[in-house]
Formats: sequence, C-alpha cells, structure tokens
Amino acid sequence: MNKLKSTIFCLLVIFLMGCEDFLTGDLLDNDPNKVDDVSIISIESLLVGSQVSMYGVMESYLNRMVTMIMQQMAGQKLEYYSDYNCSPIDRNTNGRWSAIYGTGGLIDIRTIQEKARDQEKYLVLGIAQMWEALIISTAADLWGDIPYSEAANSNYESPNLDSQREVHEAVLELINDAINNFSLGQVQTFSSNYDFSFGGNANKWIAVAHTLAARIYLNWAEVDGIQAYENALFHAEQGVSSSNGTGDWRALHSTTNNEQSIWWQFTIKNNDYMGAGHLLVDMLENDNDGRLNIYFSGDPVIGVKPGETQFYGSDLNSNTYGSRDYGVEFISWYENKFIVAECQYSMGDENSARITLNSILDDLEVKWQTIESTCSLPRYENVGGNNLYEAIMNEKYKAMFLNIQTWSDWRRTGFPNFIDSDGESTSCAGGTPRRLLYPEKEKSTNPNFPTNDSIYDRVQNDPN
Amino acid sequence: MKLKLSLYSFLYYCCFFATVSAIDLVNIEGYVINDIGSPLVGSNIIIKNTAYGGATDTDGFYQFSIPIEVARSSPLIFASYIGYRSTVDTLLYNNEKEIIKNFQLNRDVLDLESIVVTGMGAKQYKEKLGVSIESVKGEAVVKAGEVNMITSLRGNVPGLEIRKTSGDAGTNAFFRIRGTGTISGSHEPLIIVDGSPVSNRTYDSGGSETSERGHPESSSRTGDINVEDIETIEVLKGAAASAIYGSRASNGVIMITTKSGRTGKTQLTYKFQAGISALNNKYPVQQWFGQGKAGNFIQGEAFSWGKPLNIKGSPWFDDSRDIDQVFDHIGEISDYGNSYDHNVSAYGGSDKTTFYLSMSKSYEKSHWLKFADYKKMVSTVFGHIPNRDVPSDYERYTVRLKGSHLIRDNLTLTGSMSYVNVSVNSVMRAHTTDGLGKGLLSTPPDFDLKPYLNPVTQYHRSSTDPNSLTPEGDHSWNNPYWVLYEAMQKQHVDRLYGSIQLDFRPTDWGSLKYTMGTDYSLDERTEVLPIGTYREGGIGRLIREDIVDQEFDGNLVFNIDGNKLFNLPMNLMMGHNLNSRYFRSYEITGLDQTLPNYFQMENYSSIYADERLTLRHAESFFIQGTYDLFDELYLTSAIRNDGSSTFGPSDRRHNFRKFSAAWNFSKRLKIPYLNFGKLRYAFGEAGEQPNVYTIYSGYMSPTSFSAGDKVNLALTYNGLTGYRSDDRIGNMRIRPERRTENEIGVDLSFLEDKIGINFTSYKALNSDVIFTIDVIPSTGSDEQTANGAIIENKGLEFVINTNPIRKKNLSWNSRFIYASNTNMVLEMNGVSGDEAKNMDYSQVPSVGISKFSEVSPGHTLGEFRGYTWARFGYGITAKDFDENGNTVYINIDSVYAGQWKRNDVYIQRDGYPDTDWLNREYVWTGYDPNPDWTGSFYNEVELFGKIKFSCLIDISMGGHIVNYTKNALYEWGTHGDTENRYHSSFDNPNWHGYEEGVSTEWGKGKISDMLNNGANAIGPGTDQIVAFDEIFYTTIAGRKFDIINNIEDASYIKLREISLAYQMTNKYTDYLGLKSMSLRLSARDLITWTKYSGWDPETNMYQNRISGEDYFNQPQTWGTNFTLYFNW
Repeated sequence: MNKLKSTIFCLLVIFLMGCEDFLTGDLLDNDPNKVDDVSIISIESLLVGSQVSMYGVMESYLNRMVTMIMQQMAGQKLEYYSDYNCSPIDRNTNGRWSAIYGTGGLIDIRTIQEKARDQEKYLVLGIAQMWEALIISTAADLWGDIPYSEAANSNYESPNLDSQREVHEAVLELINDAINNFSLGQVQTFSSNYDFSFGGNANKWIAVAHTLAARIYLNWAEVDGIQAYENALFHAEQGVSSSNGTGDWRALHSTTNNEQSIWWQFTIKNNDYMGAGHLLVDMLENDNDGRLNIYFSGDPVIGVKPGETQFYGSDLNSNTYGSRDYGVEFISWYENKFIVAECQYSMGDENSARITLNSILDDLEVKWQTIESTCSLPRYENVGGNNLYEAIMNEKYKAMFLNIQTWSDWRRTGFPNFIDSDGESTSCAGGTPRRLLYPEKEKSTNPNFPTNDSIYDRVQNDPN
Repeated sequence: MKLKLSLYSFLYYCCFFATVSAIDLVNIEGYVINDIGSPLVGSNIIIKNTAYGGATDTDGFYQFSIPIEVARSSPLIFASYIGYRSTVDTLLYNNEKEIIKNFQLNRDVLDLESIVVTGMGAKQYKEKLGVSIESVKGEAVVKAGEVNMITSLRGNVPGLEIRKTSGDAGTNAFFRIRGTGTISGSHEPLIIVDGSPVSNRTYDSGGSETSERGHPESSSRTGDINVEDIETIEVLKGAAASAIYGSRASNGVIMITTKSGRTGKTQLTYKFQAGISALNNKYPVQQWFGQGKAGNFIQGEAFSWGKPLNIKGSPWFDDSRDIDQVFDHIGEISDYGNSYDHNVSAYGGSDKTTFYLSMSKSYEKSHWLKFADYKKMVSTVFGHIPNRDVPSDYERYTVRLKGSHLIRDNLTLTGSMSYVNVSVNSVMRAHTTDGLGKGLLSTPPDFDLKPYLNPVTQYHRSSTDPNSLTPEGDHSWNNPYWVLYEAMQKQHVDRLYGSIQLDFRPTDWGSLKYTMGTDYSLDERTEVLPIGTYREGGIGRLIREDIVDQEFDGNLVFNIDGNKLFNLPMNLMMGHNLNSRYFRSYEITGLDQTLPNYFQMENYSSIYADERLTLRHAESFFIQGTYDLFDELYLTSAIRNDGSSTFGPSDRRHNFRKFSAAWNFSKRLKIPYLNFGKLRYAFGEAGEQPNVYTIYSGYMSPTSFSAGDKVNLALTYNGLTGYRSDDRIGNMRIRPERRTENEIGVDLSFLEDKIGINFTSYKALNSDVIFTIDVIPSTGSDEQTANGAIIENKGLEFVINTNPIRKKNLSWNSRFIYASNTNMVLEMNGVSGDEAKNMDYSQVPSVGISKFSEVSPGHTLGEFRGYTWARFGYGITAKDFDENGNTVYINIDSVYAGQWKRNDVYIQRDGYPDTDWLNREYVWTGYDPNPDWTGSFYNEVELFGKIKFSCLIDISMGGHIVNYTKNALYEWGTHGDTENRYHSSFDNPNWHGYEEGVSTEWGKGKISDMLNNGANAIGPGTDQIVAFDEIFYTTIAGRKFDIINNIEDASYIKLREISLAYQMTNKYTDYLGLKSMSLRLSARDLITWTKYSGWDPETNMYQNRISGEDYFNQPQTWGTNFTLYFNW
C-alpha cells in the first residue's frame, strides 16, 4: 500500500507541477530556418537580397505587360492573350506589387539605408536610395497614385495613397540625397562586388541618378511644360554618357541557374506565351531597320496584332535580348541622349535635336554591328518640325526595346501612334491602356484604395 | 481478451482446485453451438460473480465443477463467443452431481460484444459506446491484397473516404474522415499504433523550385505498416471519440492494434501472394490528324494541328492511297505490372512470456514497360545502358517483434518494435514538362515516340526535337520513354517504430500504465534529370535529399476501477502525455552536369543546398470517467488540456472536452422483433495544431524564389549570399483549430440478430480554422497565418448488416454502408457567407488550395473557381457585335431574363461563346470535388465452412473533377474529341478526301452540341453553324477560357474487390504437417462504372489532400492476386 501511495503521490506531483519548460527551449523559441535578428545580417547581404528581388520587379510581369501595351511584344496565350487584348486582370499584378513593398523591396531597402546611415556607409546608402528611387518612380509611372510616404512603415496600418506628383517629387529629393551621399564616398569598408550594378563606382551612380531625375522631370512635361524640359536637360547633361554601355544601369544575369535572364527563363518555360509585337516589327520593317533581326529571330520576323489568335510571333533573338544572361537596361546612355534630343526639340533647338538624334543612331549602329556587321539604322538629315519630334520619339521607342519607360513616353507625346504601315490601327478596340489596374490584393485589404479603377484612367502626369 | 480469460481461468483453476477438492462439487457440462448448429470452439462459460468457468473444445463441449453451495444459490451462468451475442441464464440445481447446460448463441450482427479501444489504452464494450468508433478486423484489411494499410480500408468504414492517388507502384492515398474542416492543416487522421502516434507524413520531393503538382509521387509512411501484423483497426470518427487525443485529433484517429503472442504451442504461418496489374482504362486520344500547325505538317512542332491523316475509319479515308502510320502511344508504353509478397509470422509463449514475430517482403512493379521489354520492341541500336530498367517499383521489407513478459503477478512489460526498409523507383508525374503524362498524351499520333534516343547522336529525341543534335536538345516536353528510363526518382527509407509498455497493477482497483513510443525514419531521395531533360534547358540536374522524421511519445495513464474501490459502476482514467516531434531535411541540388551518365554531385558545376529543421513539443493532461447507470445507461466524460510549442505564447494551453451517453433502451422497453436497441448522443471537441513556427518571422536566404510565371531567382547570387525579410509576419496569438461536434445515433438489431442497423447523424463546426490571411501589401508584409475561419460539416451515416441465409453449409452475410457529408465555409476573417454575397468579389477572403479549388465564405470547401466563357448567372456584361459589326456590350442576365439558368452560355452573333467579357474574372462554378455520399455494398457467401466468396462494391456519388488535361489536349490537338475538327482541305474539291455533305460538314456544328453539364446555349448566334477548328480548340476551348465545360461528374461505382477463398484441412495438409492451408484468388478494381472521360474518377492531383484536379495525373490500374497461406 505504501508503494501505491508513493505512486499516487508521484502522479499528483506530475499533475500539479506540469512540464511547462517542456514547451520552451532551443529550436522551440525561434524558427531555426530564419534569422530573427536583423542586426546580425550585414547591409551588404541585405543589398544582395534587394538587388535580386528588384530584378524580379523590374524585369518580369510588369516589364512584360508594358511591352505588350506598347506592342513591342505580343501576348499570345492564356492570360497573356488577355493582357495583349487589353483585358488585364488585377490579380496578375499582386506578386510584383508585393515585391515592390515587401520582402527585398521597400521595407528592406529602408532597413539598408537606416543601417548604412548608422554605419556611415554612404555609398551603400546612396545605392539603396537609388534602388528605392527606381522602383518607386517606376511604380508611380505604372499606376499613378501609390502609397509611399506611409508605406512599409509600421506606424501606418493602412497606408494612404500619395499622388503621383507627390511620389515623384519625393523621389527627386531622394535622388538628390543619393547624389550627395555618393559624393561623400565610403567611410567604412564596402566590398565593391556586392554592388551588382557598378561595383561601387560612385561616379557611375551619380550619372544614372541624374538620368533618372531627367526621366522623371521629362515625364511631367505634359503638365509642367518648358520647366520640365529645362530640369530634364539640366540633369541629362550630367547623366550617363558613355556609348559603350559601361555606365548603363542594368540587371546582372549569368548562365548560372537561378541567375539567368528573366526574359530567357520566361520564354523557355512558357512556350509561345509571347512573341514579337506587330507595331514594333512593322516600324522596323518599314524603316528597313537592321535591328529587326537583332531583336528577333525568324525569317521573316512576324509580329502579332491584338485580336490575332495565332502563336506565330517571332521569338526574341537568342544572341541578344533572348540570351541566357540578358539584363534589361533600367537606365542607359541612349535614353539619356534621347532625353537631351527631346528637350532640345521641345525647347526650340531643332538643329541640335536632329544632330543628337543622328548621333544616337550612329552610336547604336556601331553597337549593333558588333552583333551583325551589316546592321544599319535610319538617319534623319532633313527632317524638321513635328516629323522630327515623331522621329525622335519613334527612334526612342525602337531603341528602348523592352524598357518600361516607353509607356510614359507614349502617354506624354502620343508617339509612336498605334497605326501600322498599312494605315490600320493596331490598338485594342477600347484603345491603348493608360495605366495598370491596382492589384487585387491591395484593393481587397486596404480601404484607402479605389476598387473600380480602370486601365483607361488617366494618371496625373497624363492629363491629355 | 481471449488471452486474459484463459489466463485468468488457468490461475483460478490452480487456486481453487487446491481449496475446493476437499468439498462437494457439482459438475457443469454441455455444448455451445451457434444458430446453425455448428460447435463454437473456444467459447467461454463462467458463473457470474465467481471465478468458476471453462471453455469449449473442438466439439463445442465444456465441463467444469463448482462447489455445491454455489450451485444451490441458483447462480447466473454466462456463455460468450466473439462475434456472437453472449447469453446468460440461471443455473438450476437439481440435487444431482451433474448439471447439463447447453447454449445456442446467435450472431452478434452489431458486433456489440466486442471490446474496442477508445483511446489512451482505455477499452469499452461496443454495446456501451456513446461515440462513433468503427472496428475493422485485420483479416478484412489483408483480404484487400493492397500493400498500403489505408487503401486496404476502402469500402469498410462509413465516413472514411479514401482515394488512391494512382496505379503506380507503392502509390499513396488521400484519406479523410467526415469531410474536411481545415484549410492549411492536414486532412489526415492521427494514426496510433499500439498506443503511440506514428508518422503518416507524405513529404513531397523534387526540388523546392517545382510546384507540388510537378513532383514524383512519394510513398506515404502509412505504407510502412505490414497489414499481416494488424489485429484490429479502430477508426475514431467524431470529435467526441477523438477528443482524448486533443489538439491533434480533429481529423479523427485511426488506432491500430498489432497482433500479439499467445500462450501455448508456437504457431507458424507462411503467406505467399502473387499478382498482376494493368491499366484500367484507355485515354481518348485522336488518331486522324498529324503533327503541325494550320493544317500542315511541321517537323518539331509541339502540337497536332497538321494534315488530316489517311487513316481507316476517318471520313476521308482512301484505301487507294498510302495509309499514314499512326502510333498507339499509350498501348505501347504500358504492360502488365506484377507483385509478390512473402510473409512469415510466428507466435506463441509460456505462462509468463509471449511473443509475436513477423517478417515480410513485398514487391510491386507497376504496369509501365520495363526497358528490357522496350528493347524488344524497337530496332534502335543503343549506345548506352539506360539509367534504369524498371521505371516504377516498390520493395518493402518489414520485421516486427512484439513480446510480453509477466515480471511479477502485477507487473507486465510489453514491447513491440518494427523495422521497415522501403525502396521505391517512381515516375515523374502530373503536369510538369518533366513528367510522363504530358509527353505521352500530347505527342502527335503520327510521331513514333519509341526511338527516344537519336540513333546517331544518342541524344534525347522527342516530337519537338526529333533529330536532336545537341545533348541539351530543344524539347517542349520530354519523351515519355526518356522519363521512364533516363530520368530517375528514387526513395529509400529506413524506419524503426514501436513502443515499450509497463503495466503495473498494485491493487485490484487501480493500475498504472506507462507507454513510451518512438518512430524514427531516414528517408533518402535521389532525383536525376540527365542532360537533355527538358527542365533547366537540358543542362542536367541532380537532387539528393535526406529527411529525418522522429517522434517520441510518453504516455502515463492511471486507472481506477470504481466497482472495486467505491462499489460504484464507474471507471476513472487520468493521464499525462509528453510528445516531441523532430524533422530535418537536407536537400542538395546540382545543376549543369559535366560528364553524361554520371550522377555524382561533384559532376555538377552549380550546387545549392537547402536545410529545414523543425521541433515541436506538446504536453498534455487528461482525465476520463465512465459511469454505468442501471446497466443500461452508459455515460462518459473527459477533458484534455494541451500545451504545445506551436501555440502562441500568450495562450499556450487549451482544453478539449467530451461527453457521451448511450442508453440500451431494449433492456427497459420490449419491442417486438427488436433484439437490441441503443440510443446514443455525443459531444466533443478536438483540435488541429498550427504549423510549426507560425509564431515567428525573420530573414531568409532562399535558394530559389519565384518571380512569377515559372521564373526563379536565388539569393545566393554572383557568388554572394543575400538575405531578405519574410513576407509573412509572425502571429504570437495563434491557437489550435477546434472542431466541436454533436452526434446522435441509434443501433438496432432485429429478427434474432439477422439484421443490424447503425445510424448516426452528426454536425461538426470547425472554428479558429487557420489560414493565410492577406495583409495590406504596401505595409511591407503581405500575409499572416491566423485563426479566422469557421467551417461546417454535417452528415448522415448508416450501416445495415444482414445475415439473410444462415445454414450449416451455406451462409450469406451482407453489409451496406452509406455516408453523406455536406460542407460549408461559414465565415472567414469575420466575413460570413451572407455578407460575402453582397460584397465586391475582391473584398471577400478566399484561399486557393489547388489550382481551381478555393475556400471562401458561403461556398463549399474546395469549390472550383476559374475562367469561363460569358455565362449566365454571374452578372456578366458580354461583348458582341451588332448587325453592322459595331461592338456592343450586353448585360446578358437582364437582357435574357427568364430564359436562362446558371451556367448557360451566351453565344455571340458569330456563333461562338464570348471569351472577352468585360472585367473577365474567375467565377465560382458551383461544382466541388466533395462527393455527396460514399458507400459500399459487401456480400460474403460461405459454403461448407470452407469456401468463401466475397464481393465489395465501392460507391462515390456527386463529386466533380476539373478535367484540365482535356482543356490542354484540346489546345494541343491530341484529345479524342478533336477528331471532330474542321480543316480547310475539307471544303477543297481538289483534295482527295473531298465529299460534299461529308467532308464539307466535318468539324462543323453549333456550340450547343458540345456543351456539357446540361448548359444551354442562349444568344443571337445560338443557331449559327461554326467551325471547330484549330483556333476554336486552341483558344475558346483551351485553358484559361472556360473550365466549366470540362468539369465532369466524378461519381463512380467500382467493383472494388472480389475474392474466392478455400480453407483446406484434409489428409494432404496432414501429410504436410500443416494445421491448415488456405488459398485465395482475388481481384480489385476490375470494373468502373463512371461518366468521367479521363483516366479514372478516383484520380487525385495531390497526395494528401483532395483537389478535384486532373492535369496529367497518373492513371489507375486493376489488379488480381493469388494468395496461399500455410499454417503450422
């Protein structure tokens, strides 16, 4: 009986004491598969994470969507067919929108900036500011009003929209700050190979900062008129200048798995989803432009119109834009020069504008002749007036193949006009979209968002 | 129980013979027979409330003695036998030295006398149960002839839905009890073997960058249990039954009791089983149109939109012209599968020690053609040995030892341990371009797949790269023979599981039981996609993955017998449980293979590693009381308190309660023809734990992450490792999901136990259901795991057991099972179903659980949502053209008010459905994968006590499947339906097959002719004849345009099992020294009655959850087995 009493006593002790400690301890109080303390992660590692994540924003669906709207590429299958036929679906932008603000995006870029300030790593600070400037200004170009001042900020549970103007003005301030930080140089050690864009070269960063600022000013020309051109020209004159491309800001890709070009990966894994767009192919053909076979493969190169249900659009040339390591140019020397040309024209200096235009084409011809020695590009010797303006914008459209900025250029100038060489409209029945739909996920969770937005709504810098 | 009775009898005999031999004794003797006069061997006869008793011999005769004083007291004498209703009678003393008392026992059609395990070691007579526990005997499981214990249960338990994933070797199965009440958790019940939980984890492999839909099937750990070792399986169905297992039991519990040793001479059994299997259906593919586009042959083209082929049977066949060669891709690649099984078991023991030992080897090869056989079929000269001969096979070795030792009279030690070794070769399945199905069903009929290597270069050859000149090739998908013989997916598992149990009975009223269980497995996987495989641009990939899965469970139970302690008819059980689960996986991926046909990690130029580590602890208390009132009302009540490291720190402990009552009203109310009647009611709560580490968030460095549309990037980039924050924020308040269930039931037995009926009605509410809620993305996070959904399941279950014929040489048993379940998602994130109806669709919470199945308030869990043409009932504004060709927009529901029903299709003026309606969005289709009811009909006929014939028909009614394979094959021009297609040559008088009224009409018709699911065509173009041409099939009828037309009824009736068994005991068995010998011929899945047009309605895309999605799923098979048992 004593044994029984002891047993019962032991049982009671177990019942009363419990084993709460059993529920805590190593591998129980934290997730061993994640780092829960950001202080032990270097800003360089965060910078790597953000750069790669932002490639995923700048070169993937958003990029593809704009190339379809601008008919450089055509959507042929499934949702890409719908997109190309101006029936995009708001849930398709959920992922990229989240990537802008979330993991690797704004929230991490701001953490990098905060840590960089604390550690006096001004070069890293400037680089992070430039990434923020690029993705936020691009987002405002694509959607118009977006959350910015209250975004990725734990003080705001439901971020409000900032107007497109407010966003761009804030970005311009950020660029200005970045330029100052680049000028301060690096106080603490920074291993330059963490900067995938320029290897820590502050001067190159300052140049692209000016070109980005010039782009933003230019995009407000429809509203701000001459002032916009003056500001744009001011910055463009300090922008990227080297026509050998070493000063261009572009994504870094390689033939290594999971580092390959996003366009290449998309194309080989989504057979026939996209092909060449009718408008660009038609323009290149009509101008007898050698870039037709630089951009696309196939003989003949075929571009597909909206409404066509064929899968015959030519593929990207696997040696250039369709190569495994192709990286989209976010900011380039030729965009900078086209900005100069447009500003010169708009500020009344047609002669300079024509010279600038032809010099861009000279340089581009040299560039592409390294790929195809017979490649020739058109020239505009005796063109003036609106024809010159159209030539500048059309050439910019052709040159900035797969670049998101082409959409803002069209909204601002109306060029290229969506009429092909047969004189037929190439637009969708409802016209060319003027903005993206806000993502379904943000609309369904954030009460500050309109739920009935349209792709034909005009953004603030596109009033007419 | 039988063991205990005999042991007790023996002990009592020893004690009392010594004390009563000197006093006067009365001899009690007689026979115990069943209702048809056969002796019941081993029946127990006892004098109630005494220790006197005996057992019948082989003639059904028993004999024992009792003191004369006992005999004079007119005691109650009780006779019992498993499967028969026990009988009690008064023993009348006649002043003689001998009393003859015979018994005839009737069949226990409701199995009321059996004792079932109710959890945590507690046992209860089924007669007294107030909850739903189904008991399946081991022999029923074995008879199915399946390797996997779960698939063996098909058709045996009402409310247990089982869906075999495919016919591949070692295949998996989805199984669930009484519908689904969770979104992110597992649907599968907790599995307990001999008192300790074991893993039933299905862990997908195949690289973190591929979706679950594109993995090879991996074997489930439920397949590790040797069915020959199973004594009984108890299925605890409602939350009241499973509440004693607390926060891991909301999906129910399956408790397996393995066979034990028995006192007596060692018994030896050897079993040999051999079987064959083959495809149970042929997929409808077209044979009339060749490879190409726009009606022309194009070499290397992926699709079959080429020229009309000159094939017999086609309307344009011309026997004066050369016949085009076409190939039966499916028939050529599939053969017979085979299987065999050896099992040796032995049991025996002494008074103090018993043992059970078994060893088995099971082997199964699926129906896919072996390379050795393939070689006989082709003339290609092979320059290298393929990577594998048998593409899909499964081999399992098991050893199990269970022993029990009586250390002292009141202390018993029991131990059981199983070692399992599993090796699997599997085939890449499903939609992936690496997979078998895509290449097999998509290859044009006029392309010969068989030479899968270019005879000259020896490189991978497919219809999209028929003259492969580079090792990497230029394939749109893989040649299926390449998938079989060159790609490799291997799995090798070593597993050890078992328990040690100490049973201490210090007093006659109290006992202590401690069970320490463990389950450890090491699962090593290899996946090889050699150079030339479509994925990764053909550069070659190797994945090696090691998975360690370990569980410890310590369970202490203290039992008090109230009868003995307080003289009250009650029992009290108190317990404490500690549980620890550890999981670790290492995955190394090598890319860019250097040397061909050499698969070592060093041979790959890029190597990535992934590691995942989890640990979860749980600690629980429980107490359960049972009380028998007047021996007719049986009450049970329990509470369990669970703590888990996966619960939010602010709310670490949660209670789960249960109560049940069972009233045997037939003891009080005498109703004509009713032998037994019981009413029962039960209420219970059980839970589902949150996934591990949902509390925490942090920074990660993913080896691979998606940038959308199959584009992947890595954070180890340019030689540097990057980090980024988690897009999921942690939830410190996460709680377990909770299922609250009420059920009522009645168990009836009529006509002298010839008919037994069980009826149960239940209603379960799963609250605090965990799912991923959307967080405002612009805050910097876009999701959080949180409690917030309420899901209802309610249903009816009934079982009818009958014995229509009970004669000595002929008996017929029959059982019909019916179980219905309806499901509704009542609320998510505070939004009810009613509120959701009036909200903008984008504001309504919704979670996708597969490509088409979603969970949203106001809808059945898993209802399909997808693209459609402009259909009625959705408020769609369709686009059309007026007489002048101008675009017009029409609110079709309003314009055609009163003329339509939901899902009717608007037909534009041009005769086609509108695919481009305004604000084109996903729509809820009204169809879901959940069957309305499932059931089975089982019959067993026994002749001369030696021959048994049984037949099981399995039924599933009302579920649906999205036949997305059909959408894809329409798009690619290989589906059988696309033989009905228009080609421009048909109207060309110069074409050889031109025939006015025949070819000119071929491939044309009205859209209304091809609408499914009873949908009508309504609109200005309803009567318009249109061409079903390449554009129609590739766009309008293809993927992303309409899935409703390809949602199909997945109802089926299957001849699940048919078996003929013969038990032999004659001079031949005597000559061989055998106690008995039996042989059985059985077959499974021989016939399927279904409307489903794909491989099989039982198909399931995912392995451990229902999807209703068929996208190049692997086919199913029929099989037949021959089994021999030798018993010594």
